[in-house]
Amino acid sequence: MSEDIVITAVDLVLAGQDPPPERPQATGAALGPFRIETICDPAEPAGAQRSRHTPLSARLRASLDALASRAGLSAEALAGPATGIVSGSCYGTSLVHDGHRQLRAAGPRGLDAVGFAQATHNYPVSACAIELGLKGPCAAVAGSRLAGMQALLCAFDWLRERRCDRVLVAAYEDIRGAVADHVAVSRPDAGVVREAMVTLCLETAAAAQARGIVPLARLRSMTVLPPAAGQSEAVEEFLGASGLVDLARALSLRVPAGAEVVAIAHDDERGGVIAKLSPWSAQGEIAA
Amino acid sequence: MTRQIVVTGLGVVHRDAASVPEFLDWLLPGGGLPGVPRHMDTSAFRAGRAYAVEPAGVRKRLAGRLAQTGAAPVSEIEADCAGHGLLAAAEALASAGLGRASRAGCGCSLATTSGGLMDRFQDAVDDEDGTAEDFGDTVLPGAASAILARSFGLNGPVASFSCACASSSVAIGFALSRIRHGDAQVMVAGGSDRMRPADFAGFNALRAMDRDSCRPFSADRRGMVIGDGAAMLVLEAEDHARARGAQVLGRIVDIGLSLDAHHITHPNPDGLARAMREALDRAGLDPEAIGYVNCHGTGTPVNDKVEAEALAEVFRDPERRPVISSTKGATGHLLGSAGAIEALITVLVLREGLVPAMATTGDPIDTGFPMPGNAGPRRVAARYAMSNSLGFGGINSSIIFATAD
Repeated sequence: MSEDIVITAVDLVLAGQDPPPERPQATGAALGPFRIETICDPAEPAGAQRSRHTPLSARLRASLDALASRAGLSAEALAGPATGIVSGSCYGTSLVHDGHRQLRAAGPRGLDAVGFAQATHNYPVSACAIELGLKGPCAAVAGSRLAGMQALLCAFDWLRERRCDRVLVAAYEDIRGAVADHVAVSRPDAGVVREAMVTLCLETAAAAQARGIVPLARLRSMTVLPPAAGQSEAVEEFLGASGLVDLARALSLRVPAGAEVVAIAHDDERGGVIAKLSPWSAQGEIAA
Repeated sequence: MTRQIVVTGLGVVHRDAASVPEFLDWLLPGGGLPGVPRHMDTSAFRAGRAYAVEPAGVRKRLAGRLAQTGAAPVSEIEADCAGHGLLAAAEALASAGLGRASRAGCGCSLATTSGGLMDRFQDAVDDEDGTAEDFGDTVLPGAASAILARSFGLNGPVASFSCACASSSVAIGFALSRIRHGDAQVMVAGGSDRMRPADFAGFNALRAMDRDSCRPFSADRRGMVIGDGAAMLVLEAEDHARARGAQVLGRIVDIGLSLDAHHITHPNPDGLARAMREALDRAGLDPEAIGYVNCHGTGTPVNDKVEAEALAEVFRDPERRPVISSTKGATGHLLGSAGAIEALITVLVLREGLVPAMATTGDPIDTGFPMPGNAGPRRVAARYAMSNSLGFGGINSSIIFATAD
C-alpha cells in the first residue's frame, strides 16, 4: 500500500449546476446554435486577498479550501515542499488573452504592473501556492482538451518519482472576453460549452494513511494514446477540464469495490490520455 | 535502474542565427545588442528595443526547411503561429537523423508564455474583417505543439506548458518523464514563442526592462531585454539512440522543481536553492561536480542578487565553485523559449568547453563565483552543468546536463 498513489478528495464546480445561494445563475450567453455557460463566482475574498486574486484564482482558492477540508489536510500539513500543484486548461487564464484588447483600447500604458503579473497561465496556481505555502513542484498545462488529464499525468509523475508526497491537481476553463469570442466562433456545433473547476488531491497512500484518511480511489495507471481521427464530439463540452470532470463524476457514483473507473480525454491532433482507477472502498464519497 | 536519457538533436532560431553552428559562432564572443523591431511598432514604450526575429524571414525559410526534413507543409497562419518552433524542430530532428519514417511514436513537449494567435484573432473580430474563423485552433496557447506534431508526424505524447519564464524547463521535465515512464522513446522538447505588444507594455509597467541592453550580474544592470525565437532539443532513451547509431550530443541527468511560495514577481533564494539541491540529489551528485551553471540572469537588480544568494547557499565551498554566467545579455530574454535556448547553450558549453563571453557585463558584481569576462569566452572543463530558470509566480527549475561520454 505504501507505494500506491491515491485520490483522497475531489471538488467539482460546474456551470449550470448547483448555483450558489442568493445569487442568480451564471450568464449562459446564447450564441448561435450552442451556448456557453459560465460559473457564477462567489463573492470576492475580503481584505488582503482581494488585491491578489483574480476571479479565476479566487475560484480556484475556494475549491482548494473545500478540497483540503475533505482530504483532512490542515494548513500546516499542506504548506511546504511536500505539496505540489498543477493546473490544466485549454485556453488558460482569460486575462492573458485580454491584455491585447486593453492595449488597443487604452494605448501603451493600458496594462498596469499588477495586471500584467496576473496575466500568466500559471497565475491561479501560483497565487494559491503563495497563500497556502506550497513549495513542491508546480506547472500549468495549457492549450488543448487534454490539458486537465495531462495535469493529472504531471502529478502522477511527480509522485512516482518521489518529488513530493501530494499534488493538488486543478482543471478549469475560464471562458470570458476574447476566449468566449473564440469559443463562439470555433465551436458552433458543440451543444453546450461549460466552464468547470475541478480539483483533486492526489497523494501517496502512505501520506493519506498517516492522517487516517480513507482514499477514494487508487490511481493505477495513466496511458498516453496516439492521435486517432473520428472521435465523437461531446454534446456537453468542458474543454480542458473534460477528463477530470468525467473522473470526478465517476467517482461520485460510488463504484463498487473491485470495479474499475476509466477517465479519458481525447484530442484529434494530440491523441488521448487514459487514467485507470480502482475505488478504494465503499466508504469513500465525493461531495460534488 | 533509471532509464538514461541523451540529447541527440539541437535546433535554434534567433534574430542573429538560423542554425546551431551559426548561433555558437555568434554567441561565444558575446552575441549582439538589441535593436528596434521592424515588424512591430514599439516606439510608444519606454524601453522598446528587443531581439526580434523577422516574421518574413521565417516564412521564407520555412517551406524549404520543412520539405528537406520530410515534414508536411503548413498554412500561412500556422507558420505565423509556430514558425520559430517549426524551424528549430526541423534542425533538431535533422541533426538527430530522424527522418519522417523514424519519427512515429516521437512526442512533443513545448513551452510558451502567451502562445497562439489570440491577439490577431481579436483584431479580426474587432475589425470585422471576416477572417476570424480562419484562425481555428491556432489561437490556443498550445497551438505550436499541435502544428509541430502534425507537420513532422510526431504521434507520441503532445503537450504544452505555460509557466511564465520557467515554461521551457517544465516542458523539458515532462519530456524526460515521458521517456522514463515508457510513453515514448524520443521527445522533441523546447520552447517557441513570439513577442507581443502586451509583453512590452507589461514589462515596462513593471520597470523590468532596460532601454539599451541587458547587463546580467553587472553593477549597472537595469533590467531585461526581451526577444523571440525558439530552441529545441531531441531527447532520446539512450538504448534507442545507440541502437539506431545516433550521435549523442550530451546527457540530460535530471531536473529539480520547486515553488517559492513567496511573491508573484519577486524571487526568493530559498526556492531556487531547493530546486538546485533536488536536481543534485536526484542526480546523485555533490555540488562540486557541477562545472558550469547557466543562470536565469535576467539582469534585473533583484533577480541577479537573489540568484547569486541561492547559488552561494548550494555551492558553499568558495574554493570549488562552478563558473556561472547568464547568456541573456547576448540573446535577450526569449520569454517561454528562454529555458530551452539556455538548456541548448548548456549542452553546447559542455561540448565546446567554452562559456560565452558576457559582453554587456562591463562592471561585474562580486557574486563569489568565477564568471567569463566581457572580451571573450572562458574555458571550462566540466563533466556536469546546470541550467536554471525562474518564472513569475515563484516557479523554479534546475536541469542538470552531462557530457556525452
